Amino acid sequence: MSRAVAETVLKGLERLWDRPPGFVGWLSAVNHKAVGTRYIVTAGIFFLLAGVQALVMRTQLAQPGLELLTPEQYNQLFTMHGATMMFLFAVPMMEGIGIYLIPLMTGARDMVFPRLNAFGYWVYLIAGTTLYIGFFFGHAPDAGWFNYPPFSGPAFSPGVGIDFWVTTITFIEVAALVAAVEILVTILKVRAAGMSMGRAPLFVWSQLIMAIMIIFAMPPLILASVMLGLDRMLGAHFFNVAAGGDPVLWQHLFWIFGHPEVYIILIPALGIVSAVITIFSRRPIIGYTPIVASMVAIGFLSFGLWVHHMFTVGLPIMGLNFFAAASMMIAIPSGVQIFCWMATVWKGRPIMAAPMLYVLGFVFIFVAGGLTGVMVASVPFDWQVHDSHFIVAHMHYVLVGGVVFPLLAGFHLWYPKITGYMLSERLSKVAFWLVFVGFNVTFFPLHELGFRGMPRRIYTYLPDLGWGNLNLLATASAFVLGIGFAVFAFNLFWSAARRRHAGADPWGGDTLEWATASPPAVYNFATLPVVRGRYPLWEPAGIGADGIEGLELYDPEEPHRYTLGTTIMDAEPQQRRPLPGPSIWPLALAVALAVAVIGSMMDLTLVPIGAALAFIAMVGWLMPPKPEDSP
Amino acid sequence: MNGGVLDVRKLPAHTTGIDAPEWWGIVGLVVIEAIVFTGAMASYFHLKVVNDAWPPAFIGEPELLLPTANTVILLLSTIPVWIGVRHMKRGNERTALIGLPIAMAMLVVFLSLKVYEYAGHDWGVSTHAYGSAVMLMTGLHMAHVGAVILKTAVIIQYIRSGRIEPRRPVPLEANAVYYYFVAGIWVPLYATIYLAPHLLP
Repeated sequence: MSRAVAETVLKGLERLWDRPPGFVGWLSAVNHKAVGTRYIVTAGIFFLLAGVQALVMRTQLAQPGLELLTPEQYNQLFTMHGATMMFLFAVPMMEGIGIYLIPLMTGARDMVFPRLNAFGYWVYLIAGTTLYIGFFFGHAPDAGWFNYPPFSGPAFSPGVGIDFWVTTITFIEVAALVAAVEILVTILKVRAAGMSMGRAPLFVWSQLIMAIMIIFAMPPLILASVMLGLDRMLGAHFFNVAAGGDPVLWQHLFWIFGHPEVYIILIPALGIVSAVITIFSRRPIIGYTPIVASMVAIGFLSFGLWVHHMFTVGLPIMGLNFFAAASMMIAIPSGVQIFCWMATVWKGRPIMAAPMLYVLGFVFIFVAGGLTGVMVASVPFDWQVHDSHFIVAHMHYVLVGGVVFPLLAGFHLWYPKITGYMLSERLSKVAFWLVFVGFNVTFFPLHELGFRGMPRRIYTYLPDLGWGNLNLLATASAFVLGIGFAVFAFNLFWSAARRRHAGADPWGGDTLEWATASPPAVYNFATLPVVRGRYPLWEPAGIGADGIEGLELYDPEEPHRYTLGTTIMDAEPQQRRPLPGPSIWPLALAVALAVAVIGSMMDLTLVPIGAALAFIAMVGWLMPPKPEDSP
Repeated sequence: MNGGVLDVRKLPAHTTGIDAPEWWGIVGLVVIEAIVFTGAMASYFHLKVVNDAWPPAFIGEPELLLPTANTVILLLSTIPVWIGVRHMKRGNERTALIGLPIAMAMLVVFLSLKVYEYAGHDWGVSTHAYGSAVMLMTGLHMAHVGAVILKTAVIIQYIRSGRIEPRRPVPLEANAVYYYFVAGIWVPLYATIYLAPHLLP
């Protein structure tokens, strides 16, 4: 940004975009950086809670016959661990990172629907907190994160634990869907002038694909949980065989969601990997178009794999073969991306800083998980290892390797941007090795334990089975992994206290967020950028406002919040888009809907009451301004 | 961006149709809900396949005359909505103030006839998986029709107070898109609930 912007304009923008002080101001915040940070911090706390649950389970399994936990407690722990990681950590974290970074990367001042953004966060917070209130009072769901009926139905789980699953999971789906629509429409409609889709960063592409996948994958789960709720609360028979229902229907609906879900969290992670590899190889990515095509292919194909979670249910073999073939095929686009990244590092000048270490860790662990994935895609092989610890090993290799490692890489990359401070490189490297070694020594032995016949979701095992030594090794190593995360968490706080200023662009980045201050001003860009290439900060004419003026989009006579609305494919300027300021309506609507959805557990009359409150909140929120108040 | 200088401060503050982010937002909502309804229909057929008699003998096949007439009423009600939007975008908000109340009234008729139809049944959501499947689809759709009636009342009030005007038609357009969805999705639902039992073995 070479044009100097008048001090009065900067101060005016600061005043215009800031939020009112105090607690009500905090509750009314709609700025994407505030909402994104809240998602990230909340998801991080849930990750910690789920990690502690894992350590407790691993302790129980360390030796045969331990009685640290009762079977019921163990069931609640593995259910909460799975539900927390999948619903309360992974998707919100990925969406939160997107919400924080997308407007900065696409040169906008905020997202298209700022109040909808805030609403999604409040729904997420209420849903997650409610589930954990149930957990702390001993009423956690205990039927696995996948909650199969008939066990989760009214006959076998009459208590309130499963009701917590049904209501909070349905509620959190709303948050995920709302954020997905927000991310999708923002990426399509408010990019910098000149940022055609072919010039958009790969991270932005990955968020776009993730958002579309969420929109298609989550509704089947909402449908399933509503059906289960009707079975449990109104005596419906969707899953009751005695009255014409079918438990396999649940499995289909759940896994039509559940399989794309894991790719929903993988694809934005792949976007982070592309971002890190570009910067830390110090060259443009090799294979931008194949990488985009691969992410699209993965997104598409992932909807055709779901029955591989149901190979042992007794479905016709011909059908199983289709899903087995598709499950193997999806390795191809994943492989294409790995080769593109390897080529980029090979032909670049790589820097082995912490983000790159985590990316290399991702390659190693995720590829290993992908290899066991091709193994379990084979039906006869899966029939041997289904519901054994082999699957636990496979799943953690692809999830931790494919999602957590890229997230950690992203944290190390963007922490300076978000906080303004550099992380300690030494602590980062210590944490990396603890996490990498700890992870592998914990989960690799589980492959062998699976082959030796150790089932999943058992709270203990007999001494003469010979499983004790490997379990002890896995548990000890799990604590090493935990210490690694503790060092990472310590690094986050220690570095904030140490205050080594990062500056706008500590890494020599290529994308627009590195052209803002660290942390960015509340209005992101004083002058909205115009983009001329795919690597705007690396190309000599990458950012240039020739031919366009007024890009401060600020009029001191009539100050109003604006960002630039653009056309979808070529990002031609189209709209001086007004954006709303802080508002309490998003929180009000979230609370009203909570009364209906979560109140249904307590008393069904709360449903129409909550709906009425929601109607009032929606009218208040959506009321357009009077003609004289509208720009 | 070709030739001359573009001053973005002079761009319009309000867009319409597919240029408007709000349009894409409502389409996102419509896609989500369409998938929920599609899943409900798919579930109906899944349950049919695993049951020998569907509908079960003690429930019997659904009547056709009243539901079909009701469906025609629902679909016809989209016409005054469509006309109202077109006239609003041409600068005339009075047509919408006539058309939207007509559409609302037709929706109230639809809903009332549906309630009458189901009140005459001796089976419901807890009768059999068939009852659960049909009442889920019908109940979900009736809730949507109720919501659209309330929404339309609010929109009418916004037009009367000038909060929706020809210069800023997007809230009316977005409401119309959702209206067409609620009317349109009833067609496959109707085919599933009423036609499939008569047409399929």
